[in-house]
Amino acid sequence: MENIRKIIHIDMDAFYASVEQRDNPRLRGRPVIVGGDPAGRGVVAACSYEARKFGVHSAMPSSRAKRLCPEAIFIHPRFDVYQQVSQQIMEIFHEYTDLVEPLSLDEAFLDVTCNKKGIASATETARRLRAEIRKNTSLTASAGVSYNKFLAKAASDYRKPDGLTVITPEQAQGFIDQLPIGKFFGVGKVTEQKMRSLGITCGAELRQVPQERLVRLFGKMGLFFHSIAHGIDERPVTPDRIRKSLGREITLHEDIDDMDAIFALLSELADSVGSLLKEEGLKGRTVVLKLKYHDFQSITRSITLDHRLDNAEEILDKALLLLKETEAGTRKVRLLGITVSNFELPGDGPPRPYQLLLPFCDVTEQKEKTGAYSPSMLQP
Amino acid sequence: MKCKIQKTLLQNMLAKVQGFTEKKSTLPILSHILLEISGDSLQVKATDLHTSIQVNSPCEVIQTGACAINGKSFYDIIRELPEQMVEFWVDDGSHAHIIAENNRIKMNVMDAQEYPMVEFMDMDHGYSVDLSIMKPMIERTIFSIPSSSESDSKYTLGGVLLTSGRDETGKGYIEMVSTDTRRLSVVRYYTGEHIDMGGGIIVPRKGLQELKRLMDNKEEGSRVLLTRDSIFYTSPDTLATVRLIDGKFPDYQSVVSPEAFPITTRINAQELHSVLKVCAAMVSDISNCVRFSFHKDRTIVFASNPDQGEVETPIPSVLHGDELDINFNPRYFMDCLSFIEGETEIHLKGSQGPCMITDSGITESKWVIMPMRF
Repeated sequence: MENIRKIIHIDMDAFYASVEQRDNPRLRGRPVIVGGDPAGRGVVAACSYEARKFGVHSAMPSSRAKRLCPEAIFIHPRFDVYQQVSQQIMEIFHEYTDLVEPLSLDEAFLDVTCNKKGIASATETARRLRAEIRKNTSLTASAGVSYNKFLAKAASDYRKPDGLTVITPEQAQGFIDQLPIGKFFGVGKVTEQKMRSLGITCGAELRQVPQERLVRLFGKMGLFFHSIAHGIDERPVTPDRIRKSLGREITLHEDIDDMDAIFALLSELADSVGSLLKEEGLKGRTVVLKLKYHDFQSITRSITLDHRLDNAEEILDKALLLLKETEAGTRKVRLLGITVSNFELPGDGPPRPYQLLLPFCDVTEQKEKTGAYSPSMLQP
Repeated sequence: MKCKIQKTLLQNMLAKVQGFTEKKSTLPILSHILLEISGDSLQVKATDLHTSIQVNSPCEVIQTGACAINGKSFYDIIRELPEQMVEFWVDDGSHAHIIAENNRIKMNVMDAQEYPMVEFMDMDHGYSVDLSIMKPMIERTIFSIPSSSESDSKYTLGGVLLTSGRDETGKGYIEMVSTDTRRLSVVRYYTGEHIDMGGGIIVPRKGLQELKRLMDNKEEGSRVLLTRDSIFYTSPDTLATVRLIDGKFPDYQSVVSPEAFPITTRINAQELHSVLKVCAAMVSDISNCVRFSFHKDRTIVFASNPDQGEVETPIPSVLHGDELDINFNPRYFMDCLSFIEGETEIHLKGSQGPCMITDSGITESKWVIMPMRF
């Protein structure tokens, strides 16, 4: 028994949309969509449960969401506000345990096996966490409680919104067996299709597949699928994950080959990555450009510099340089992403010097071009 | 076509044109050179469409004609032949035959008609610059052209900016400038008269390298001509041209303005150079960073490598302005110090500002180097 961990996964309910409804009473009870302008090419970043009833979901083009739900209220995201609320929630978590692993602004794993409040029951801990989040932020969260990350996350998803689901070791296999294959950790759209074409539609069926076969079909992930199908997931909750890279990407609702539009999007991405780097106080030596062509072929191009950077302009410069090594412009593109990595890590010994650049003062007249594209196109 | 030519003569011609072909191009013809036999001479031409060359040499002409042959293979083969007369002809099909002593060589050729035209126009209107000026100007700027892999997208930095102007007193000059954004090299030559180079144009790095190589041969009667769209090199048997390109170059004038540097130290360039060589050996590939501590009467150069050890060497110098510590990549210093004999002036702004090294002689050189920061 002593080896059984107590893991909680907390997931805020329709986070961005709920924050908007909280701050603006007129939005309450109405379909709210946070994201890009439906007249433009933006996408849905988040939507309220009222909007979900119409079939609206995140990452969907805003224009399509508008067609599905004409009375929806579209709102531009206010990331600074979400960030603040997220900070508040993380602080609550840290009152209970330092083993907090944030997955995004509105989602985290907590290992409460030994918690600061000395609460024996993980279910009780989750109940209190949810109550405190509601009290401090007026927002609701769903929680999943189990003995590993996979089950905790699957559990929090089970009864949304405002739900609390506990999966005990005794219940685990039954829960896994009925779980649709798409809900398994690491199974995205493509893998799900592949699984279904192999006749694997739920946990029970996944469990029947021999390990070797899964490895043959899915490589390393096959091993992992085999384990979680049997309720085994040893991944620890790692607090303050050392960030190895920081990036942003955007899926376009319409495949594009217009270089001006691509430039504008990269410029937005670079701005966004640059300010995130500055926020986190990180500088990286490697800039990676990711591109997905219309046929879903995904490529990356990277450049490693002899100095670390965090400013948007330089990131954009390098991204444009890398863009030349792609077929953008001739082949249509459906996704663009910029990532900066190769940070200075705490274990790297004394700080390495970096080279300063000459202060040429030129106006980048190309900046104006980006006006037509709103930052809301960037998916959170 | 058919001729006989001394092997060494042919080899020298081929050596000269090697760098002008384009080996990586998707157009196979550009990896070829054009051989033309006419009158009493053999002419070898090569071009990558931006830099072009033609070399002439007398030979025993048996039959005139022309063909295109792979430049590198032909050179590699000719080099290995004995020091004798080489007989060369092209048959009706598409093969060249080379006979030297017992060697019987057959090589594929391409139709001479397919070879791009090499034009050497506008030479009459050029401004002639002495090789003793042009060669150092190239040498003093070519090293700070960024390697192509890190070339900037905003500016055209893959070459040297060639520009002209007048100084405050109205004296005309030409200037060559290059930068990899970490350092900048500016070399000015006072022409006296005003040479109009337009808004400034860029000489691609490859062209510069080839011009420099030709100048290294120190051929008698050779000269360099500048025009607004090309640089020419001529000697009695060689004619080479580098086509200049339009591009955006950063505004460098403010960076080299003397007012920007309130601190100055005088130091022996060779002494500093040799100390930095030692430092560079100590810090090689770890951080490439050397600390300069500028004091009133000396400069202390310090380099340390946690895995190897450290170097600390004082060099006498005279400082005007505030004392300061500043870090630099030693190689950037060595690149320009190697051109300076005797004393030089290092101009400084602050521990995070640029530094400028100057040298004046026939040409005026300014090298600006940005420091490193922890």
